[in-house]
Amino acid sequence: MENFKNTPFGEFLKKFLRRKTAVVALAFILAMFFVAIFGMQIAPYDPREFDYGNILQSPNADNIFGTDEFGRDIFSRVLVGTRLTLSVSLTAVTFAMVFGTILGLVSGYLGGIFDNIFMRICDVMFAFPDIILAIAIVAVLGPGLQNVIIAVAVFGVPTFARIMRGAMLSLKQSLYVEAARSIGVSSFRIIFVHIFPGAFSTMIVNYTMRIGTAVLAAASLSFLGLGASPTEEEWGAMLSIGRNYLGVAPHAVLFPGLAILLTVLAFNLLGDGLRDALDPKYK
Amino acid sequence: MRFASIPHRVNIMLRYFIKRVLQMIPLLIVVSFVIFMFIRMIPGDPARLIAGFDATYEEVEAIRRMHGLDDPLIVQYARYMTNLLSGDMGTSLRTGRPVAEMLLPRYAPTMTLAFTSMLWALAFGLIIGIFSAIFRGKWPDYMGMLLAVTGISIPAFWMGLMLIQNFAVVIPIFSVIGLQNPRDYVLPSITLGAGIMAMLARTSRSEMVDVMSHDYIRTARAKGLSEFEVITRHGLRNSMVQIMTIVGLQFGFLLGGSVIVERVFGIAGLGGLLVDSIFFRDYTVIQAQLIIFSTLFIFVNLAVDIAYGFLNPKIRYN
Repeated sequence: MENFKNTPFGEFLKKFLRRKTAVVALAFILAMFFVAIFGMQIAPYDPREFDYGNILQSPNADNIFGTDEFGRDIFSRVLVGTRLTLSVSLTAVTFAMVFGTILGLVSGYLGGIFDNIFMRICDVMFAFPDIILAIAIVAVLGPGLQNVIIAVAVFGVPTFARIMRGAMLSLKQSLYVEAARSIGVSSFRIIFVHIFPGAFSTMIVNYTMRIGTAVLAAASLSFLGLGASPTEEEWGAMLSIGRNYLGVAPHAVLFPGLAILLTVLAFNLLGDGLRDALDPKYK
Repeated sequence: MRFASIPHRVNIMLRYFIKRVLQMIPLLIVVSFVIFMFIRMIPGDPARLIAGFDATYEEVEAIRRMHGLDDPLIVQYARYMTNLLSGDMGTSLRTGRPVAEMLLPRYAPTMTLAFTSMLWALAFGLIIGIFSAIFRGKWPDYMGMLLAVTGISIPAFWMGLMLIQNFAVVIPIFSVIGLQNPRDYVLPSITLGAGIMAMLARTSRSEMVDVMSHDYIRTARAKGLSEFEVITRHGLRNSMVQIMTIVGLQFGFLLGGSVIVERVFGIAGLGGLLVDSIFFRDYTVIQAQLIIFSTLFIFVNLAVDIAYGFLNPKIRYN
């Protein structure tokens, strides 16, 4: 046990557990994953079942979040929607991370013309505000969740690439990389075995934070009618429909929005906690 | 002696300014080219779209020749840019009106909204950031940072709808929709500025914490300045460089956010038009708007870069 405390992971765990908000956020996210997997089983009602005798009911003992314009139970829809929200944002951000990391590492390591061209491409992509770029991509590809994933992934790539390239440039000159090179280690091995782990902590923090951004972006696109179809249990789409009944049934907007807020908040707080625990400056 | 040094400094600033403007031109060309090609990638025949779906083959071909759509893409791009520079952005596929004319009345609402949002976000963001830094590790810091992280996480469309529900429907202080008088800007500006306020609060806190640990702050205190003077004249002034950069970057966030906020509040601005144009597949309008948005963004960042040069001598001398 004593030995474990002195390992880098033990050290990280000690600091992470000190941040109460981050621990709560992590617990919330784990609970969300559980709901994402078993949502259909734990939902009290069938989220797609119409009940015309029971439309736009305010929250009550039977329907704790109330019902929507077709009498569907909003609580069940929010629970089942967790899966869509998490899968869309996780897929998009994972794609962005994998492509961004590879491009950033290779670009930083090779330098020269390739690096120059690549960084100019990033500049061009940074010249578009995030959500505008996503909207433009959806405009070309057409509305739909699959295209939302592509759009959100594409605007995440340059951020990851920049971080990795920055890490690469600073680590490339370090003594241990020079040592590796002088004993004849291949470029591929240097990049992925020696340099990549050095930037891993920055990467994981950015990954966590990006999920929050992705959830917001995907929900925004669905709200604008460019993402999920109105029949799907997607929080942004639910809100978009619910706004038509805002005056008579504000709960149809309140709960899906709260779900988005809490999800994004949890990922941001977790990201903050991870950063503080991984950053050597906070020792 | 100071007098004599001014022309030299102006000279350096001017050179820095010209260099930055010249660097921007290739970026603008590439960005506009990318957008142009991007729009051409959309499946479907533009000539058919203009002619209408019940047009005959001959009519479509005539339209294609008339609009020069049978020219090589690079020629089409050059023509588009030449026209653009003289203020001609083409004709809307949906309304048949000149795009420039359609966009003109929409600048003012969007720009006013962006400006008012930035103003309150900057004021509140700075205040929260400074207080959090001064009371670091105490409850005002926790409260401030909790507020900030919530501001970053809150979906703008939801916040807008909740504000409408509470302050226009339940307690009717503001009107629900449109921009008839200055008061109507309050709810949309709060919605649009919330995220930026949060971002600025976080940045100014971390900057202030960093700056306040420097030796010159201790010197300022030692020579008997009041804490207020230490914070404003020495702390804040040195933090401003970093905060300005965030302001510039967040301008893009404002433009993006305006798309959503205008939709929620039914404002006839540039953002709302972009979404409408996508629904109607009005590509000439989408193209013009994407070029305008990215150009505005590039210009604001240029202005920030130049302001940065003024604020931070280290940059301009390099």
